[in-house]
Amino acid sequence: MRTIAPSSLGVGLRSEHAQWLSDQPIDSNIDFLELTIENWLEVGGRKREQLDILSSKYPLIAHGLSLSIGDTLPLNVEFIKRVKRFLDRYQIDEYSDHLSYSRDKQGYLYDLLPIPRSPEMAVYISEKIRQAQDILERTLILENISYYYNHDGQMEEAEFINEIVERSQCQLLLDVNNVYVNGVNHDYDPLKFIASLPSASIRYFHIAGHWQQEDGVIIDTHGANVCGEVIELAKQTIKLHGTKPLVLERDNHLPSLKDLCGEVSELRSQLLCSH
Amino acid sequence: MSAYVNMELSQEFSNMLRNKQSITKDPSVLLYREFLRGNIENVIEHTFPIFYQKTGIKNVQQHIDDFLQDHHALSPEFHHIATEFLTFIQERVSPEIRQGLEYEWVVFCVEIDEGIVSHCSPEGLSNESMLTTNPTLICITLSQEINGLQGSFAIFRDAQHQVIRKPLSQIDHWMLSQIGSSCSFLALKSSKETTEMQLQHWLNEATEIGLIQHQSTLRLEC
Repeated sequence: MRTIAPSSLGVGLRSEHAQWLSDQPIDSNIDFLELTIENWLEVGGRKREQLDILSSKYPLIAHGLSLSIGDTLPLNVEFIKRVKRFLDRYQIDEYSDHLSYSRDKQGYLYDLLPIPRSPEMAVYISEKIRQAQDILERTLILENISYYYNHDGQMEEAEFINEIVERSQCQLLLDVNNVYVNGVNHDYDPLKFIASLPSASIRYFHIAGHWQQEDGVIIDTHGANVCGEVIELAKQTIKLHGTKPLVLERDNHLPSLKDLCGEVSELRSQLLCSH
Repeated sequence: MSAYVNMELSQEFSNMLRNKQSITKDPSVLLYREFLRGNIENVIEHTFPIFYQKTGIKNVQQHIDDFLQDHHALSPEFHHIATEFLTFIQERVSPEIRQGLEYEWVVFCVEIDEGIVSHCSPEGLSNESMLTTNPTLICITLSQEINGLQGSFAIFRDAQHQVIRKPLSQIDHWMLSQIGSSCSFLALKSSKETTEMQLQHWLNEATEIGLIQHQSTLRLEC
C-alpha cells in the first residue's frame, strides 16, 4: 500500500465514482482518497463492499462534516467513538473535520456554520479538541471553512486558528479555495492570512472550484474546475508552507472520473513539478 | 467577549436560520437559510423520491421549514436526516402519506443495513443446516398501493446488493415466523403444518432469492 507522501494528490471519494474505482486497477493519477466519513459510517451493502475494496487499493483520509467542534455543547462522545471504530477498522490515521458548528441547543442543523471567534471560544474549543483527540487516539485535523456571515466584534480568523492550534496541538487542513473565497467576500488578503498560519501544523491542503454570483459574492460550491487565481494562491501556499498532500474536492456538477483525474494531473504539473 | 456571549451569538444566529419568518435583510443569513434547506431537501429528494414528487417542491419546502423550526435532530450524520425527517413528519401527515414515507424509509434502511448477506445455494441444505432469515429483512404491510405494491411484503437485500420486494403469502408468513432469528432444518421438518415437499420447495425458493440463509452446523460456510 502506498503511503501518503507530501507530494501526494488525492480526490474526494464520491459514491458516483466508487464502483468504477473499486472495479478498476489502481489509477496512478490518484495517490489517495479522501472520504466523507458520514457517508460511509455504519453503512453496509454495496457501499461497504466498495469501501473494503478501495481501502485495500488506496490510502484513505477520513473527512467529516458533523463533529461540530465549535458548538457550545458537550462533545457527542458516542459519535466520536463510532468514528474511532471506523478509523481503526480501515486503519485510517488522518481524520479531519471543520472549525465550525452544526449543532445548537435544539439539535443538529446539517451545515457548517461560522463560530463567533473570541479568545474565550478558542480556549473552550481547544479543550473539546483535546477531549476528542483523547477518544480518537489521533490528532484531530481541522479545516478553515468558507463563511458568509460575520459575528459582531470577533477576533481575526488567523489569530483564532493559531490560538486553537497552540492550545490543543491539533493540526490544520488548509483549504486554499476557502481562503480565496473568504478573501474576496470579506475583503482581505488571502496570502497574508495563509502566511500567518503555522507551517508545521498544516497536515494537508484542499483545493476546489467555486462559483461567483451576480452580486459578486463567491460561493464555495466544489462545483467547477479550480480557477487560475486559486491555483496561483496554491502555488504561493506551497512556497510558504512546503509541499503537503493535496485533495481536489469536487462535489457538484460532477465530471467523469477520467476528467477528474485529468484535472488532478494538471494540478500536479502546475503545483508540484515547478518545485 | 465572554464565553456566554459567544454562546448567545451562536444561538441567535442559528435561530435566525431556523426561523424563516424572522425578518432580516442580511444576505448572508438568507444564503445560509438556503444552504441548510438545500441540504435537507437533497436528502429528502433522494431518500423519499415518491413523497417528494407527489408532495411537490413548495410543500416539501414548507415541511423543511417546519422541520428546522420545530424538530430536535439528534443524529449528526447527514444520511440520518432521512430518519430525523420521518420522525418529525409522521404525526403531521395523513396515514396514507405516512405509510408511503415509511415504505421509502424501509427501502433506504435495507439498502444500507450493515447485515452481511451471503448467497446460499439450495443444494447445500441438509438436515444439519441452521436456517436464518436474511439479516436485512423487514416485513411490511401496505394498505394502499405504493409504487405498484400493495399488501404484505418482505423487503430485503440480496447478495448482489439488490433490494428485493417479495409479496408474502400466508405460508411465507408462517415459515418466517417459524424460522424466527434461527431454526434448524430438522425442527422445521418435524412440524406437521406442511409436507416435506412443500417445505423443501419453499426453502429452495426462499434460499434462491436470498430471503433465508442456511449454514451447516458441520461447516462454517454455505
